[in-house]
Amino acid sequence: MRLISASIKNYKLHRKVSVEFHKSVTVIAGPNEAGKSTLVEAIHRGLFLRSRTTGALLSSMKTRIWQGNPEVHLEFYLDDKFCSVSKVFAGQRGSTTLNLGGETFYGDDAERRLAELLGEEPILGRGGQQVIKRWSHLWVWQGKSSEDVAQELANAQKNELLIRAVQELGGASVVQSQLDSLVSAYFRRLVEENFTSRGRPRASSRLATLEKELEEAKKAYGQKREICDSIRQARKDYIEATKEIKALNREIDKGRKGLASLLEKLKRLEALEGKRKEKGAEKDEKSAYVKRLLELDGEIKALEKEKKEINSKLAPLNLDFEVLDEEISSLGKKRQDLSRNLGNIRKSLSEIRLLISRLHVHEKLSALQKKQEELKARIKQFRELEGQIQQLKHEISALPKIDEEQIQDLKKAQEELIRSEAALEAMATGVEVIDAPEGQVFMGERPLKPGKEYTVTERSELRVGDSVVIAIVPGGGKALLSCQAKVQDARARLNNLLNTIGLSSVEEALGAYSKVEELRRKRDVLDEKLKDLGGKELEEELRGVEEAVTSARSELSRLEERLGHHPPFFEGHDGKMQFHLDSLSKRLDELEGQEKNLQTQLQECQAREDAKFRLRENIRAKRQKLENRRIEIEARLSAKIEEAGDREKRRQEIDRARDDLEKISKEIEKIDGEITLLQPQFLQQDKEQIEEGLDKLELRLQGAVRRKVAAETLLGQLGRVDPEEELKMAYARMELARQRLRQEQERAEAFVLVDSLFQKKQRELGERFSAPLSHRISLYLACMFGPGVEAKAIMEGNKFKGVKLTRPQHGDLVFSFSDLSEGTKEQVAAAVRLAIAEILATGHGGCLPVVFDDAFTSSDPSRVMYVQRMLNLAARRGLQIILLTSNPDDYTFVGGKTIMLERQDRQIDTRARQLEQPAIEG
Amino acid sequence: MRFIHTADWHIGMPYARIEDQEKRVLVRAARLETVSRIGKAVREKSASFVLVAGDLFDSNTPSNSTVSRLCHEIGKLSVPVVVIPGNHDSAGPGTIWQQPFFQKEARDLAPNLIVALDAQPVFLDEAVILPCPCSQLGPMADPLEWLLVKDVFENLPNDLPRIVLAHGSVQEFVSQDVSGTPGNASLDTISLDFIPEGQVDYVALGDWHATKKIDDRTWYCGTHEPDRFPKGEGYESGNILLVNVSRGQNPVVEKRHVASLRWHKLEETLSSVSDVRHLSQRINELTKGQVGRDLLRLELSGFLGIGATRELESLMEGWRAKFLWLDVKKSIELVPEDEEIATLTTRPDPLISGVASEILNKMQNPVDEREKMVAQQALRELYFACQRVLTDKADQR
Repeated sequence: MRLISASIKNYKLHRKVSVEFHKSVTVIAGPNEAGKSTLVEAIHRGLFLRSRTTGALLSSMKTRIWQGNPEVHLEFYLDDKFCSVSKVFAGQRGSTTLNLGGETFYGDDAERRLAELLGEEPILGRGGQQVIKRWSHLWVWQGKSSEDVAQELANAQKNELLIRAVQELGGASVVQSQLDSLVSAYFRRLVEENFTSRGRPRASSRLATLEKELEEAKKAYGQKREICDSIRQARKDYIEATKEIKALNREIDKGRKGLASLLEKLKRLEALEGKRKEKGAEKDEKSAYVKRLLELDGEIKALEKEKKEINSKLAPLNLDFEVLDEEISSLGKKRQDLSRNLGNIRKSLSEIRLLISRLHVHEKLSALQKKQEELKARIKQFRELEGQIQQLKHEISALPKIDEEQIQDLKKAQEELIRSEAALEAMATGVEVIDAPEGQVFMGERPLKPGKEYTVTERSELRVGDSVVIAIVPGGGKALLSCQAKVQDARARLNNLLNTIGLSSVEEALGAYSKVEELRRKRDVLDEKLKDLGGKELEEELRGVEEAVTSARSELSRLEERLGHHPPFFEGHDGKMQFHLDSLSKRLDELEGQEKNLQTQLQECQAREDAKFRLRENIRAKRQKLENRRIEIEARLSAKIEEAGDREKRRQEIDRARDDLEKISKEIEKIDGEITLLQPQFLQQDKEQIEEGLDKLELRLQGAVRRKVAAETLLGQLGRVDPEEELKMAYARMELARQRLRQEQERAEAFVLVDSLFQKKQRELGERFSAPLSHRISLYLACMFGPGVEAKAIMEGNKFKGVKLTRPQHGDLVFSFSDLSEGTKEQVAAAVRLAIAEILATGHGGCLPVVFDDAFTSSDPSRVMYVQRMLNLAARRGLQIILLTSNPDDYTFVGGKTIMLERQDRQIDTRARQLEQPAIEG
Repeated sequence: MRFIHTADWHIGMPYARIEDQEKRVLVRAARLETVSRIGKAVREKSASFVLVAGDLFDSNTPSNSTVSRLCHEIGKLSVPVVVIPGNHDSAGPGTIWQQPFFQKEARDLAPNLIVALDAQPVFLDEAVILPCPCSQLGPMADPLEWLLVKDVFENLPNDLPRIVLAHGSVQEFVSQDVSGTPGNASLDTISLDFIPEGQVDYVALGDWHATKKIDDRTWYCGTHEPDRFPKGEGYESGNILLVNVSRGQNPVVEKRHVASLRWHKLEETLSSVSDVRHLSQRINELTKGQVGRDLLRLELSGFLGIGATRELESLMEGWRAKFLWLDVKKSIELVPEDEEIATLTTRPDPLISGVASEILNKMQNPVDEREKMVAQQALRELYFACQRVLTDKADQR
């Protein structure tokens, strides 16, 4: 079916509008409210809504603006036949006229035929509201573009339509039959009854019951088996225990006998050991006695030997001692002589020394006395000098007192005066009268004498004779005056100074001053002399000397007292005295030498004496020690001999004791032999071993008896039932349960097998069946998403249930429709619609119109480009595309034609401006 | 002098594999009932005594009720009954022979019962019995060994026949256990070499459940009431032996059938429905129209189609009811008939035919035996499910 044109009157805002469709693609463009949607709605109603529709639906089509009923006139081709339908929606008076290739139908007949033609159920009675669902897979109403068209297909009627169409395309028999459904459902149910979704047997299933039964049977068998085992074990225990008891009793008997014989041997051993001990003690005693005897004998012999040795040592010692005694006494005598001589010499020495000292003191005394005299003389001299100095001082004080400074000042003043006067004179004019009679020449009133030069320092009148008067004026002007002043000053100062001193001239002053100086010098000389004499210390010194004299005198008298005599001094003759001293000194030296010599000798003698003495003491000590030892030995000897008797007696005693000892040893040897025969090292061990063994045997016997009793007890309880029989029964039940379970498992497995095969086949069939649809969807989607995109129409049972997508750029992930974005949903839904339309078109003369009313609003511009490609493909594959858009520029590349609808403001005609476009058909 | 030689009564044998409890009780009771038929023989033939050569009981711990009933039956025999323990009821501590209850019941109900627990001669009025009891306590490896001891025969009276009473397998004869329980088969072998030449007039043996003559004076009598399916041709059980014996002469032995139950065994290879029907006919012949007297082991092999298998199964249900026990060993493969295959694979139902083809494929190329079995089962289930659904649909119409 291919639309040719549509004319609408009095439909909503449209007063009258006509459009002619392009055979492949028609874009109806126009701004909002231009009536695009209203136009396609009118076409849809023309196709599907009964003209006699009343009520709200009718009212909604009408408008108060226009008078007259809504009218729709459509023209289309069906199988190359020209057809048309005209409907006037006027409620009960509505009319429908259908022209099918020349044949004309009216009213409900027309409606029915039209519906059949369109593949939809006619809406003849009420239910006009259903109209919107008609051809909803081909008609994308505004705002519905992203709805899952496949979901809509689940609608039974359309599904059947589609299935039929697909069957026509793919193959008639590939859909499952009713028997298929029933049988597969039967097996599904069986499996579900038997197994949970996880594949485990259901608790209520026969399988589970049988499993449980088997488990119980196994348990029961185990229990019976245990009972039988315990009986068998008890029987075995009984037999073994009985045997063991017998054997153990035998063993115990044997053990006891062995023990008795052992005990007897032990008793004998004990007796022997007692005797052995006794004899041993006796032997010990005897051998100790022998030992004692031998020891004593040995000791006596040793003492005797020692005594002999001591005696032989003592003899030479005594001899040595006597020799030393003699030597010591002779040395003592010699020493006494020497010390006597020494004493004498020392006496002489002492006297000589005193004499010498007396001489020295005497000499000292003489010197002191001499000094004493000298000092007295000097003191006298001192007194005289002091008087002279006193005289000089007196003279000096009589002279005017003038000191050095004043002299200097005077000299200075005088010099100043002289210098001033010289200066004045230099300025003054010299006047010398070479020759003239005395008294002839005057300067002022002062006569000038020939040959003498005068100095004129001020204007003066030189008069020669009475007649000649010459005024002399010295040069310098004012300077002359100042020089004159200076001279006056200097003179004044000099006079002043002189006045102070009280002298009249400088020369006088100088004379006085030098006189004083001279006197002073004299005094100084005297002072110096005084100093040289020693000054004031002299008297002190004298006192010291006097004291020294006194002390020397007393010493002298002391020395003389010691000497006891007063040999005369050779006074006044120094040489003699010296000689005396020298002879004394010489004597002293001699004596001192003798003293030293003697002293050495004495020391030597003394040392020798000491050495000898020590030697003698040494010998004395040795001798004493030996003698002490001898005394001790002798004492011990006598005691021991008293104890042991003499040599002979001792020998006899020893021999006797030795005989006794030998006898005892032989007895002991005999006893030892008997003991050895008894093997005492094993006896005790054997006894313990046997006892231990017996204990163990007893324990085992008790155990065996216990076991036997326990087994007897258990076996004695038998009789109520036959455990062997019960075991056989339990085994048979277990085997039966096992067999039943195996059969049931086989059966259940068979169900599972059949069921799984059914499911597999269903899947395969579904895929095969939906292949044409899947293929076409994929084809359209490839325009959008490139090659590789794969769509799969999902079938369940005999129904399409949806579409799944695999997109290579998404890693072959499988998408459900609901997973997609809004834009993609629009595009995928469009692809599905086109594919469905293509398939359904076979029943509509190979063509169906597909209407998209603003269907790609969520698609971005680049995708819209691809949408155009998809739409063009659909057109090429024979579909008629009608596209409504407010943005015709988006669809520049869609082939066919574009119709512009302009906004109508209560216009009479809706003008459709048709823009012819070259078809982009290829 | 005549006596009855019997053995292997196995009183108390449980027949545990017989599922049906009522039938199991019947089979069990038959062993005891047959004893009374032996009593009939005793009386008819004026037997002087009865020798039971071991395995009087099926186990050495029978229940008290079994003991009471047996003692009662033995008491009714009225002649001395000499019994030795066999391998099933061997003597030992806590065994039936020591139980006070048995001893009391024997005293009270069967004063004619002589249990020979010791290896020493039992002197009867008309014969000397040389018992060789099986004992767990015995010092000898072979129960007959004691007969070699020098002075055994020296003090025996010379005019009385000497009868050895023993239980065990003579060399190659090893008895097999019927119950199927493992671990109870007799491995006790005995040696007749222990019997000195010319000293014994008859050897009464037990343990082998069929009647068997070893030599002129040595016999296995077999069990009095069969307890298993026949092992092959010549397997004859359910007899007692009537022995005529005197000192120094060969005995005269006469068999007498005393059993009440019939044990059958059939081996068939099936390959068609007609085979199945033929088998049914044979089985009907076996029972001779009787119900509740026969036991049957059916060993079936071959292959059958789905329908034939079904027919066999429904027939089997009937047999199960008629027989005291039907023990089936079946290894029949399911090989569907061509038309059965066609029914499944060539139908206009794409799923069913696809599934059926897959199952057939599995049946023909199974990974293992188990898969094969499962696949066969699966095919049958599918087949019947289709039939059922089609039938239901037809019914609905």
